This record gives sequence, structure tokens and C-alpha cells, in this order.
Amino acid sequence: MKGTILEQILKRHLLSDKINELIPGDVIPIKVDHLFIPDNSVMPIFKIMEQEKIQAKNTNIYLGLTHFRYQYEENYSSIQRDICDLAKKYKFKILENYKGLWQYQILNRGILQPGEIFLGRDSTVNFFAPLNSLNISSGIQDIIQCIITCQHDYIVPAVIHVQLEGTVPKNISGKDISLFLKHELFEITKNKHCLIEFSGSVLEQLSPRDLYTISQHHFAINASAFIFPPLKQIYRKTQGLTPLESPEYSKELRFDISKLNSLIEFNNSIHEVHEFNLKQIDKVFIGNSIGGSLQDMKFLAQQLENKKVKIPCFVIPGSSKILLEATEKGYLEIILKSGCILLAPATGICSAMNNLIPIKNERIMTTAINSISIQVKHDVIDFYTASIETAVATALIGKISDIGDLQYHGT
Amino acid sequence: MAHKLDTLSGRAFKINDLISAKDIVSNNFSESYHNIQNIYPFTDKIPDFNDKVFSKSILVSGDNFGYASSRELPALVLKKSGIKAIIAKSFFSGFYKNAFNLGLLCIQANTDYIDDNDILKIDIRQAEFIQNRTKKIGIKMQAVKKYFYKLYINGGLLNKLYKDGLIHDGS
Repeated sequence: MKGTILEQILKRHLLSDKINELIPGDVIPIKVDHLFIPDNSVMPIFKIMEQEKIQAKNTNIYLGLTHFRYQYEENYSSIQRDICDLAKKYKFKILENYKGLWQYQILNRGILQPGEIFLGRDSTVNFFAPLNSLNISSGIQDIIQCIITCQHDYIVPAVIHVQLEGTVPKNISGKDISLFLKHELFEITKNKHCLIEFSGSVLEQLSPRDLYTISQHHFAINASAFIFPPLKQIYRKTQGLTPLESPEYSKELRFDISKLNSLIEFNNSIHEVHEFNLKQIDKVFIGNSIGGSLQDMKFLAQQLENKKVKIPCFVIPGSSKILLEATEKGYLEIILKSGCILLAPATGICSAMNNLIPIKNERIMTTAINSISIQVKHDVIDFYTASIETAVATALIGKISDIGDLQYHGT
Repeated sequence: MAHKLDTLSGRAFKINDLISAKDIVSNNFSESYHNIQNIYPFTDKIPDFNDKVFSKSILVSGDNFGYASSRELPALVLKKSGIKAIIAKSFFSGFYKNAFNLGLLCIQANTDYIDDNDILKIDIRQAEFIQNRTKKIGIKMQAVKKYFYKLYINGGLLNKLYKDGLIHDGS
């Protein structure tokens, strides 16, 4: 892995001078710059900190506070109160959900810099991959160790280089590229502990929204994390880390996506949307951490203006702040007038937060990260995941459709 | 020096390969760390898991066990259900680390040579093979790295931190 971005980041953070070479599979002690804990995972951590009178050595600890994670628990109010009290006691920096998605709060405050290490008890920490940082998802035991010592014992991954070239076709989004990568890479990565470093001309053509969407699909592609080079649409001035001359990767892959068509995932396999063209769908879910941003609300409003959806289409803004801004900008009114149903702002298991459980034999399309991101109690539901473009076209036509199909259906 | 946990015997409970973290703990429970007593593994995929796993302590699977999440709840509920070790062709690294952090043993080996109900013996330090006593064969296993071996014999990361004096009490 000599000369890779990962190697450079790890060497800056190594806590042992006995390690000369980074070998995939080895466990190395590294210093963590920032630590994130969502409120759904923080109580066991506080419990141990209280019992053992632990003082946090790490001062950059952020707590994501949603206030509704425990709403179905009997002692909901006392848990929520304890979380707030203990967060103050231990000086955790609180990221209130009503101020926006916690990821965007980290972004907007400029907390994470290129080359830094971010450890989080949340599978979505790789959201920050476009920041040219190393983002690690972990369990709460690792978080406790990091609170006490600022250290994380990191399993060194094999580094795979993926070069994306070509011109991004019209109507192809980050979600389509993520599904394409899953299709191409899953068999290669499935038995490997790996991290993917990206490069190529495609990266410069993608919007931040598309880059952040791709970032959140790392587990779907079976990689422990992604790292992007510094990109001008993310950093205008800051200089980041690029690979050194002749970097050594465990595998190098190059894809031309110029002819990529809209994709859809069904039962963990990826297909072109036209393969399922006009197949019946019962409900569409647009939102949560993918499809729930303000830009997504704007896109939805543009597509839905003066039109009506033909099947139930549930829209879930990612946070209260996004809902408020979408209301102020008039997007929400257009979305509601089209017949869409608004659900409470949420990320992750959006339907669970809204107590919506799919009915047996239902056919559901979602923009979520993978087909199991919506709460499912049985395996008898047909689940499709696709881009917001495909989801909105499907809602308007009433059957699986590509956004390009809208012009042929008079919508 | 040999440790009492170096040797482990038990009956195999074999399941499919490509088991994701969310197959082990479905999403409707994934937010409930504090409610662990009421969470059981495979409630959707193998609803009678607890009955089936009764008297079996070694879970056997195929490729990429525990993929698609960094949550430690899947490893925790498996341990709570009485599983002492998991043998798989490969593990998702997040699951592998979380399991050892909780003192749950993970062994990489070719599980094609193990059937449900086979009696297995694993000698972590001495042997390079898992003994399949039912089939009377040895199955080559990948050695457990020193770092993970230490986590395992200490009963997990927190206990290791206790022993290192970073947390006061080892209870």
C-alpha cells in the first residue's frame, strides 16, 4: 500500500514507532482526531463511564441527538433526559438533529479536515469520504477505548484503486454509480478486508450530493471505507492528500461509465431499469439519508410541479431543518399538491420511525442505501432500490420507469 | 502458557453463507442497545433459532459473515444466545473485530467439510486444524492473530482495558 492516500493518513496518526511497514490484516494503534456517537448507542457508553468513573481524554467527541430514538420504549423520557444530562457532564459536543443532519453540521462547521481520522459508532460515517479523510465505523467497545485513550486499534485493509473515467450521462446520479460499483465490485471485495481509493475524471463531474451518496454505499460494496482525492467542488482552497508517485495497490480497476444507464437493485442483484420497465410497484419511499436532503426536495419539486403521483409516494426529509427550509422555499407545497405523503423527518430506518411496516406481498421502491434499510419483518416483500430520479418517475407513471420515460407518458 | 480458553469443543449449527449483520439482528431491533435482553438472533431468517441452537455452540457459515454494518449488536446477541465460536470461510472485518471485542471467537476455515450437528474441537494456540470428530478429519484453519487472541482470552476489549489499568475494576 506504499504511496496510497491511506498509507499517508495512517503514518501521520501512528501511535507506535515500531511499525515500519503497513501490512493488510495487521492491527495498528492510531490516533483518532474526531469521535461521533449517535444517541441510540450512547447509553451503554455512559453506563460504563459512570460505573468506572471514566474521564474522557478525547475532547473532540460529538453526540448526535435526535430525541426520538427511544420513543417506543417504556422509560423513553428518562432515557432521553439522562442522555442530555450526561452529555453535558462529559462535555460531549451536541449535534441537535433539528439543526440538520449531523453529517451536514460536521461539514458546515468545517470540523473535519483532509488527512484526518474520524471514528464513529455509525455505519454512515463514510459520508465524509469526499473530505479526503479516513472514516472508520466501529462498535461501542472501540468507542469506549477511544474516549479513554484517543486511540483506535485499526485493522489495516488492502487498498483497491478504482478509476472512474468517461462522461457522466444525463440523468445518471450518484445512486446509479453506487449500484454500478456494487455490481462490478461485490464479488471482488466480498472476501477481502479492503478500502477503495477513487480517482478519475468522473469525480470532477459529480456534484457534492452525488459524491456523498456514493460515499454512503461503502458497506453495500463491502469496503470498510472509501477515500476520494481532494476535489475542487468540495475544497476550494484547502490542499489535501493525493497518492504519491507509483502507489502500490492490491488491485487496480478502471471503468468507463459513459454508457451507463439508470440502474435498479432487486433482491441484492443489480439490473438496468428498462429490464423491469412498467412492472407494477405499490409504494415508493423517497428520503432518509439518501434522497432526503434539501437539494433532493428541490429536485422532487421540479419534477412534481403541476403533476400527480399515481401510486402512494412517501417523502421523508432527512431532518426538521430540511423540512423547514423545503417549506420556506415552496418545495413542500409542490410536493404535497402532487399527492405525495409527508412522513416525519428521519434518517436510516425511516419507515420504522414512522411505524410503517410493509404489508405481505407488497412491491416497494426506495431510495435507501440498500434493500433492507426499510424495516422488514418478513422476506415476502419485493424490494427495489433506485435513484431519486427513477423513484419519482415510477411514482408519476405508477410503474417502474426511468426518468427519461416521463416524456412518453404525458407526465 | 496454555490458557483454559485455548481449547473449545461443541456441536456445529450450520447456516447459509452471505449472512449480513441485518440477517442476525433485524432493523427493527438495531437501535435498541439498552434493550438487549429482549433481542434474539435471526428472528426473521431462522425464527426458531433458539430451539435449533440448543445444545450447539459453534455457528458455522460461509463467505462474508456479518457484512453490511459496523454495529456490534449482532455479535452481542449471538454471544448472549450461547454461541461460543463462529467458523466461517470469511468474515466482514467490522463483525470480526466487534466479535473479538466482546470475547467471541471467530475462526476462518473451509466450512464445506462441516455439516450441521458435527462435533468439532478447536485448539486455538496449538493446532492448525479444526478437528471434525464426527467425520474424523482435520480442517485447516487460519491462525488467530496475536492481537485477537489476547482480546479473546481476556474476554474482550473492556476487560483488556481493565487489565491494562485504563479502567479501574475488572468486574
